[in-house]
Formats: sequence, structure tokens, C-alpha cells
Amino acid sequence: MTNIMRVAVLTMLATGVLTAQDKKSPLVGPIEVLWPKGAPLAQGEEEKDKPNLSLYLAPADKANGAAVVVCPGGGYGGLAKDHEGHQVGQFFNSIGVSAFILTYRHAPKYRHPCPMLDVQRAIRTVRARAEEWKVDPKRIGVMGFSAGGHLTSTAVTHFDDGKADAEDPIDKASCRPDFGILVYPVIALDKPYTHQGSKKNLLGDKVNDPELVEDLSCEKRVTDKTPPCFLFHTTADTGVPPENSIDFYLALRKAKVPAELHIYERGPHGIGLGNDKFPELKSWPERLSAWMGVRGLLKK
Amino acid sequence: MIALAAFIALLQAEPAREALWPKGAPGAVGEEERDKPSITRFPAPADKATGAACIVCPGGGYGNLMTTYEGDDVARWLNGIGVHGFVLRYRVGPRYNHPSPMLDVQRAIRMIRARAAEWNIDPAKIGVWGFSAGGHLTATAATHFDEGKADAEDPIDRVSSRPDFAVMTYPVISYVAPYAHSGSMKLLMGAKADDLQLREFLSLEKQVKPTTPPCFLMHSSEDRVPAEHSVDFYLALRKAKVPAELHVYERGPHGYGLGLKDPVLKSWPERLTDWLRVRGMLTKK
Repeated sequence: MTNIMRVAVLTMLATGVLTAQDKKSPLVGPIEVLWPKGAPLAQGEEEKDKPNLSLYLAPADKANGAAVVVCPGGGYGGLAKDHEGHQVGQFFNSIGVSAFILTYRHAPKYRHPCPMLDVQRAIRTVRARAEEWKVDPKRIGVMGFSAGGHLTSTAVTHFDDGKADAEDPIDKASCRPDFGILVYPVIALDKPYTHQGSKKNLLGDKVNDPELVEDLSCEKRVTDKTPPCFLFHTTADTGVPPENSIDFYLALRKAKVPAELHIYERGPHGIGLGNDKFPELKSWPERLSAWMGVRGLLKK
Repeated sequence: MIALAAFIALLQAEPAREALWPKGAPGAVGEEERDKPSITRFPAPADKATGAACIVCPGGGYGNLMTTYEGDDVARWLNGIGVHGFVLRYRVGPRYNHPSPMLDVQRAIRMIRARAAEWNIDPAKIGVWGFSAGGHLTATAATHFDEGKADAEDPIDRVSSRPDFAVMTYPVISYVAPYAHSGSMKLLMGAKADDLQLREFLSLEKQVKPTTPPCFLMHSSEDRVPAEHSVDFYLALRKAKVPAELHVYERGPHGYGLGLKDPVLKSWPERLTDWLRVRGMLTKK
């Protein structure tokens, strides 16, 4: 996405005009609807009522079995499907990882728990259909940008083993991710440096519900069962300050969960995988692939 | 021929050691080598030199100095990116306690600034870089500095001891936090280790101010000196609105220096190079 387009999208997000970018999705992978018979809490039959995955399966000669469910950002009011979706899918394919770009439900039509249900379902779906998609069911990660990073923090702290006696085979699979990748994430909904827009979009009229705010300030929900995590942020991010990533990193440390954290100095919010204006940021995806390598996630 | 050329290059690169106080350091208790803090000069090759300079503070828990992989190797690496390196031999415990190491690093900065013209250095591009306890000394230099005394007799005492940038590699930062590093604290403070005011003064996450120079921090999650040292310093820099960069790799023990032997850690000096470039420290005048 060009910078002008990005500015345009950001402007749309800021003004609440979100429909334009959804009309022509930059996602080119085949679409799998998460609940073919209708999503729980769905309020209609339109496209935006049907959360889905766009499949970017790694080319057969490169595929190493690792998979990542990717959650684009957009303040829980939209989805930046190009530089936080399509481009990410292409990056993962280049290192042999299959990517599943998640179109999750969001405001104004949908609030919590819909985005969480969608990402949990996405992980279960990839795991249940691992064989079909040539994915190792023990190497399914989740990644998210900005509000999608919040959704990722939710996925790595809110999960279950699935229901053994469920009718739907997808419901039998665990929704615990095997690793988490948080990119300039919104984390602490309870702190002054939270992203107010995301918080309002996610919680709607429950924005002041203390229990909900606590439950979705996921730095408070980290346990030793939380999977290993990688975090990227920039000091210059004024939209979502790096304290969000720091809080999550420190919580991981306390729970003795392996973690890696990179906070580059320059770069605004929403930088995606980096661009020509900040050439030094192009190295962060290399840090990510090195981390995945060290964790044994890229072995064939 | 190649061997001869290499030998000549080695001769040319022979670093020169300069005593920080040729007439004797303040508080010195003897006349031995260890009583004479010094900087060893590794000039950048003329065709690469950017004018930037960096003092290197080896680690060693304030009881020792790791002057190879946290000293000379680092200075030579700096030369590769056009930065003049100065390996600091600062006084350590148990013979010397605070404030000797601090006085030494401050003096080193002043000396390089005072002699900048002689050494082809830009006096506005003088940094400090330290490892482990040397990282603590670096953070000390970045938070405790002064403008110099205009009316001092010694020209070195007239210039500022504020570094223009600071790099901390797996640093010790705090002596008051629950994760405080007690080993280096005892060597740094000696009999005064129980003095809470002194501990606070030397817990550098408590001493950051808006005039603290831009900082770069490198740590790993597995380090036995906990990564919280770097994280808390970063948070203090944020509060003071000081530009900063922080990398915490998951893997990596304590004391790998540049990490060039590790396939993953070896990338961290590249992050530092990028950061120095972005900050304009590598731009030739």
C-alpha cells in the first residue's frame, strides 16, 4: 500500500468511514468462512456478518509446516487488509509459513466477544484442518497489528482445549496458539496510554464495565500457559505508545514465558512490515523469522 | 607481501594509551597500573572516519575489566563503521569504590572533547558504550554530568562531561529494585552499600532527566542480569521524553559482547549501526 493510500485508510478510520476499504479487499487467498451455517451472535447475512480466513498457503517446495493466523489492525472499527494482511501473508509464504488472514467482526456492528470468538474459531479451524492444509497442528501461531495485536493478546491469554464431545469437529480442537506475535499492539485497556478508539469500539456501551476492562487488559491475564511471544513496537508510536508492549513483556517475564521484544526508535503507528521512509525498520521481520527459527518453528 | 602489509597495518593501528590524569587521579591510593585510569585510543581509518567517537566501558562487575571482548574488540568494530574507539580502564573494587569509576568516565568524556580537534573528532558526537557493570557506568555517565567549570585551570575541566549518546549492553541499572545486582553493588559501594541515598543515586532508572542523551539498550530475556534493568531504564527515558531504542532478544546468556559468534545475536550490532546512522552520528562532516 502506498503511503497516500495508508493515510487515506487512516483518515477513514479516524472519521469512522470504514466501508470503502472493505468493498475491494486486497486479500487474494481463497476464502474459508469460519461458520458456514452462520456465526454465533450474527446479526445478518451480509459479508460483514461472516468472519472468514483468506488462505495464503506456503508454496509446496518451501512449506515447513508452520502456520500463523494474522489479525489486521483497524481500531476494532475496520481492517487494514493490505499492509497488515496481504503483505504479511506474502512475507510468511517467503519463509515457508502458511498464513491465514483473519477477517474478524468489528464495530460498529459487532463488539466483544465477537472478535475473540472469531480468532479462537480461526485457530481451531486451522488446527482441525491441519492435515488438509499441510500444517503442523503444534505450530499454529497468531499474529496481530495494533487492535489486531490486542486481539492477539486476547488469543494468547483466553483459550481452551476444545470440547471433546462437540458435534462440530472444529469445536473439538484446542484454540491455544503455539506462539504469539504482537505488532505495535494495543494491550492495557485500563491504562491512560490505551488506545481509546479501540477500547470504545470493542466494548461499546460497556466501555466502563470494570470487569470487562480488567478481563481484556490481557497483561493481567498472562499465565505460564501463555505461549512464547514476540513483540515489535516503535518509541515514536504516538497512536499506541510502546508502554503497551512493555506491560505485556513484563507480564510474560513474571510468568516465565519466553519472550522477545524489539522497540525501534523511529517509525509511526501502523508501519506494517516497514517501508522505504524508515529503511531500518525493514529489519524487524528478519528479527521475527530469526526468532521463529530459534524456537524451532521453521523446521521442515 | 600480504603478511607484511598486515604487519604494517597492525603497527599503524597500535593503540595509544593516555592516562586520564597524568599527575595522578583524584583519590588514587597508589602508583600502580590499577591506580591510573586511562583511555586507549583506536582511531578510525582516515577514509572511513565520520568524526564520531565512542568510549567503551568493559564489564567485570566493578571488580574487574573485560578489556578484550567488551573492550578492544568493540573499539575495532567501531572503527569499521568510522567511529573512533576509546577503551576506558576505570578504577574498580575492592581497591576503588564510588565515586572513582564515575569520575573516570566523566574525565574520559571531557578529555576527548577537550582534545577533539587534535584527534579529528566532532565534539558534539562523543558517545559512551558499556557492558554489564560497564553499562551501569554508561548509564551513570548519561545521568550524572555537568557543563564543566569555565574558570578551571586544567583545560579538560572546562568542558562538559555530557555524552552525546549512550549504548548499554546487558547493563546493570538498579540497586534498589527487587532484581538489584548485589555483587557489583558491593564492589561499587564498599562499606557504603547500606547507604540508601547512595543506592538511589546509583540506581540510574531514578536519575534520568530530560537532558539525558539518546540511548540504545540491548539485553536478552535469558540473561542472569534480568532484562528488567534495561526495561526500567527505557521506561524512565520515555517518561523524560528522551529518544531511545530497546532490543531484548529471547536467547542469549550474559556477557556475549558483540555476539558475533552467535547466528542470531550477531544481528544486534547491525541494529546499533542503523540507530547511530538514523541519529546522524555516522554522517561525515
